[in-house]
Parts: sequence; C-alpha cells; structure tokens
Amino acid sequence: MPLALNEEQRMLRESTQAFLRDNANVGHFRELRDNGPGWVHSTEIWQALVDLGLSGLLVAEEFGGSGFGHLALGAVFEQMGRQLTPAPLLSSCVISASIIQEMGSVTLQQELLPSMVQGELLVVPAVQGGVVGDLQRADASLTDGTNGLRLNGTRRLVMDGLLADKFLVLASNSGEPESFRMVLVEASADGVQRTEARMIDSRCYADLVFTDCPVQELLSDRDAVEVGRAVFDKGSALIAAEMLGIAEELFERTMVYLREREQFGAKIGSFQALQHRAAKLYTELQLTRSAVVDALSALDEQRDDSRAAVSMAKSLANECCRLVASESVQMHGGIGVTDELDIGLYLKRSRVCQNLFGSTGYHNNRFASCHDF
Amino acid sequence: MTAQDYDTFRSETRQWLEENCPAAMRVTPRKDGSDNVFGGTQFEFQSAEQRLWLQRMAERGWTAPDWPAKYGGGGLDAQQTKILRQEMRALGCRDPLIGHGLWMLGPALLEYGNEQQKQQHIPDIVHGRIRWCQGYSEPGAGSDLASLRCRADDMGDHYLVNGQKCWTSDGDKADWMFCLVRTDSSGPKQQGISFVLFPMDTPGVSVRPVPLLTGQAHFCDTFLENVKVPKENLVGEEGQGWTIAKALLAHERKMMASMDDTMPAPPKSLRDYAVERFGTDEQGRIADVEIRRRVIDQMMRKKSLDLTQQRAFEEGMAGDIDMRMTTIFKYAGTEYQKRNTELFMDLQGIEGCRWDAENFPEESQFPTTWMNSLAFTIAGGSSEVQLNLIAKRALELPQE
Repeated sequence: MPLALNEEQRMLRESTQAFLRDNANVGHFRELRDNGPGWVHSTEIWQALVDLGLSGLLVAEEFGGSGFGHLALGAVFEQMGRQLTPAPLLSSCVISASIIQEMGSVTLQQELLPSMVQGELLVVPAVQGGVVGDLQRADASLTDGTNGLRLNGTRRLVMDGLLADKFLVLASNSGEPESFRMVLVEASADGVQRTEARMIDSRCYADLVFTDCPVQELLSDRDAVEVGRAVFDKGSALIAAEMLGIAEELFERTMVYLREREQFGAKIGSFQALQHRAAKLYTELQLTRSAVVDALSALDEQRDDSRAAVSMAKSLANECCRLVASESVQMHGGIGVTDELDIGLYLKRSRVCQNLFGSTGYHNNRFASCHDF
Repeated sequence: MTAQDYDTFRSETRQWLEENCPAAMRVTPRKDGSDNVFGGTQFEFQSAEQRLWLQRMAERGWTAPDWPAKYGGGGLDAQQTKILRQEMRALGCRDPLIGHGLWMLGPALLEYGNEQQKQQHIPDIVHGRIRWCQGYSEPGAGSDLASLRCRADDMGDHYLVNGQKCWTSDGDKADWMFCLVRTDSSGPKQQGISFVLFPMDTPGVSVRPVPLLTGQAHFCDTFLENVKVPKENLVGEEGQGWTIAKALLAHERKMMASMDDTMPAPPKSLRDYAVERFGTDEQGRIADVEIRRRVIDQMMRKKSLDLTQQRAFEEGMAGDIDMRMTTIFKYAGTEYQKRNTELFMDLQGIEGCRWDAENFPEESQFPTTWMNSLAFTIAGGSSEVQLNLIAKRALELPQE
C-alpha cells in the first residue's frame, strides 16, 4: 500500500509541475477565458500534454500508452489543479479509454485507443455533470429497430461535450438494471444536437439531445453498469487529486498574503485568530492528501477496499476544498471577491469539482454501505 | 537489510511472540488503563503472566525495541520496530511496559545524556525497574512553560532546588523525577532553564495527589524544599534545559497523538455499537441518521489520521518527506480522540453515563475514557499551543 511516490512517479510530478508552471498556468487560463468563446480550451496545451505522454498513463503499452497507473496520474492531476490547466484528459483518456479497454473488442481498441492517446480523437462519456452518482439513468433510451440500435434522450452538462468526436453512453431499452448497455455515438451523426452549456468554472460543457441516433454497441461479457462503476471510481479519485492541488495552491497563496498584508500596524498573519484557522486548514490538507494518495494506490493495486478508499478520498477532498476555498476568500478580504485575483478562479473550479463525480453526501453514503451500515 | 531479511525477521518475530506471549497477555486490557504495567519499585503486578511477559520482552530489549542494544534496548531499525508492533497488534499482545521512562526520558537521555547517565538509567527503564515522573508544569507555568520559576541554586558540587511542580503524573508512585529548573533568571526566559534528575525519596521532596474528574489521582502536586541534586545529575549543559524539554515534548506529543493505537481497540467498533443500539433500516443503514453521519465522520477521521502517520513513515523512508507535516499529529490525534470518546458515550444513550464499575465494568469505562480524553487536548501542550506551533513552524507565519 504505497503512500509515498517512487522515483519514477516523483520525476513525472516534477517534470509536469515545471512544464505546467511555464506553459499552462493560471495566467494562461485567464487569458483563454477572457479571449475565448466563453469556455476554455487550448489545442496547443492539449497537444503539449499529449507530447509529455500524459494522455497514455492509464493506457496499455500495446496501444501507445505507458500504463504508469493511477498514483502517477494523480500526481499529474494535482499539478493541473494547482495551475488550473484545462484539458480533456479525464473525459477521454481516463473514463472513455478505460471503458474501451474494459469492454471494447480488440478491433475497436486498436481502432480507437492509439489515436486517443495521440490526442487526435476525443471520446467523451455522455454522463450528466460527469456523473452525479446514479449511472443507471433513464433519461436516454435504446431501441432495437429494423434499422439497428438507436438512441433517444438527453444528457446535460456533459464534460468536454463540445470537443468530442464520439460519445460513450450507458443506456437501456427498459430501465431495468440488467438491460443497460454501453454504446458509442458519432458526435457528427444525424440526430445528435449539442448546445454549449456555461458553468462557473468556464470549462467546456454541452447539453446533448439524441434523436434516433445510430449507435455502435460495445459487446462484452463484462456488465456495463459494473464497468461504469469501476470507471466512476477512477474519475472520483482523480478529481479528488485535482482538488487537492487546487486546495494546496489556494492555501499557499493565502499564506503568502498573510505574511505580507498589514493592518492595525502588523502583518495580519501574526494575529492568532488567523493563525489558528490557517493551522486547521493545514491539518485538513495533510489528512486529505493521505486519503487521496491511498485511494489512487488502492486502484493501482485493485485492492478489495478500493471503493471505500475512493469514497473517503472524494468526501474529504470535497470538504477540504470547500473549507480552504472559502477561508482563502475570507482571509484575502475585499480583494478576495474580485475577479482580478486568481483566488476566485480556483474557488469556482473547486466548487464544480465538489459536485463532479459524486457529492460529499453521495460518497459518505457509499463509504458507509461499503462498511455495511 | 533487504526485503527478504525483513520478511525473515517478521516470521521469526511472530513465532517468538506466539511462543512467549502468555495467553492472559493477549486479552484486551481495560480501556481506562487500570491494568497497564508501569514498573518501578512500588508497582504490584496483577498476575504472574504480567511479570513473565515483561521479563521476557525486557530480556530481548523489546520493551524499547529501537534503543541501542548496548544499553539493553532491542537495537532494531525503524522498519523492524514497525514490524514488531504490527505483529504484536496482530496477535493482540499487550504492551509489556509503558510509562514516562520509555516514552520520554529514555529518548531524551539517549540524545543528550552523558555515557555515565545512559549506563545508569537506560537499562533500568528497559526492565521497568525504575518508574519516572515528569517535573515540568508549575502553578504559574502551564501553556507558557518557559516562564517556570522553580529555582536551582549553584552550591558548588550540587544544586539546591526550591519550588513547586504540578500535574506530576503518578508522582506518588514514581522513583525518580526528571525536572526543569531555573539556573539563571537574568536573560530571556528560555535560556536559564536546566534539566536535572533526582530520586523522589531525596529529603525535601513531598507529593500530594490531586483527584481528577475521573475520581482517580494520576496527578500530583510536588513540593521541592531545599532538595539537594548532585551536579552529575544535570543532563546536557547548564541552560540547555529548554532544548531538551522541547525534544522530550516532541516524544510526548508523538505518543499522545497515537494514544489510540497504544490503547487496545474497544471490544466492539463504533459501527457495531451503533448498529446494535439504533438498529438498521431496510437498506441496512444505521436507523438514526445523525448517529450514522457521526460514525462516518469519525471512521474517516481515524482512517485518514492513520494513513497520514503511515505516509509520514513511508515518505521518510523514501527521502521525500516534508517534516513540517509532523506538527499536526498531537493536535489532530487528541481532538479526534475527544470526539470519539464522546460518540462512544452517546452510542450507549443514558447508559453511557453509568459509572458503577463493579456492576457494569464495560459501560463504566466509557465515561472514564471520555474524561481522560479531555486532558489529552491540554497536557503536553494544549491544542491551542499546538496550533500556534503549526502556524510558526510549518506555516512560517509572522510572530508578534
């Protein structure tokens, strides 16, 4: 159960950190936000991350990946959180790539995975808000007709939905638990309607409407819902890692401010009221880090308790981020609620992350049921 | 040592423990600590097994596994020590010996004591022959420990010590005291403090037990009146006491942070108590949603604390640790324990306040444990002092 990074993972962490700091930092994010269509994406940043090999960390070597694993990828997400780096890494290279590796035929894997790792093809899971919890939603249905399998329904707030070349959808013809199937939809297919959706973090989201869309089913002896749940765990743990990075960055920026800002003739960081609050945040950060690292490690080792570990990590990351973000705004005072300061950008992203891949309540419940209460 | 050596060590250790730890010493001790072994000349063993278990462990130095073998310690490295503890916990072996000598004075002496002092005191600690108490706090020096006033006057070959110490744990049962005294009051308060050792039966030493909320009297007021302390009992240099005190407090805090682990797990888990008391709904969830939420929070807290201790250990081994993180353990650990003992009581409902140990030995442990937990967030540097320390050391926030 490794809780410390090995040398290879540390090197990855450091090279990612150095690269993002110079090439895909919060300043770049702000620039993209202010000069873009209202949501943020950069093909240059995406290509650079691909060139660094970050798109293949969970993909097997035979498909062009490196199979480095979750702990390594978590270190990357943490750095992306620190720099607010926008990229369709989670949607395409974690969620979809994992589903295709688990359920796709060899032909499909060979067809899709290498170009996904190359960053040329984006396959995005069409799940509501990155999945709010319940995978077995009845809002999209499949029908078997004379002209093959067709998809009807809606999916809202689909992460990276505007960028997708293909969508992966978990849907059923009846809503019965066993009837769910995993299907691929061409984003350019007839009957796919996508509309831009704005969220407070200025990332890319789309509302989707499917009208009688032709689909390709992922035929596998694996249960589609079970695979969905396992992949949901990966998403939860990696979002938790991103949130850890966000919280660390917010905290460090706030500590710098406490050391510099003067009021009442003294540095405000010398006031015990603020020192104690800062020390409590630091404590929460340490505990959260351990939980996140443990969850990633559990996924790498396919441990029996990995679901409980993931839920604990996401729950703690949610609450830690909530606390650190609101305290960071508060300790910055008036300037904390201006758009000029980067603190607000982190606040907004962290707020969305709290609800991506399961809220605190959802994960608390799941943690308890893992422990049989 | 190679990974294989550690594996061998683990299997040999397990075998030795299985063969040598008496069955009675694998029964969960009482949560209120009343059947712990403290050693010392006044200690009365409650059973032959207690005595035997201490003897066997002490012979191997395993009462102090990571102390040097030349002073009677186990001579184990950090990984071996961890393995020993893991194996002991797996078999349910009790700690053969606990106390201030093992937790605090020993490590401080090994670091700051001279050769003669180590040879005189360390083996006695390992074997539990001498029980130590700590003379730190004074009526006017609690959280602000450095303002202590107990004075030691230089009389040539000895000091003459006068003053009062309080919160002396088990002062009435201890054989020796390690004590902070003021040898100089001219400079900054931290600089004139020295660290001395003396037997509790030295003329001029008197103790008075102070009953606590629990009804027990673990603490004493200690009065020192013209107590003669030979100069060879000065540890380190004169004026170096504050440095030693801080190092020793670090050991104390480390111990208190993981008090929960040194103490045996209660016979039933939080979850089991809660299910038993409140029942479950048709989905198997604890029927009382508020209690369920608190059980979840506490379980996550405990798990994340354990993981953080483990992470510090592993990052240390990997040479990739930010030592600042260790400042959180005392604060986070003792605050967790306080909430935990509180919840354990709530799970019993009104029965949780039952306190007749004779008729209800199990239930009556809970209030005692809870009251003790209130002391842990004060002793060894209160939570507020810990937060000051985190702000100063880990966060480098400006000081007034």
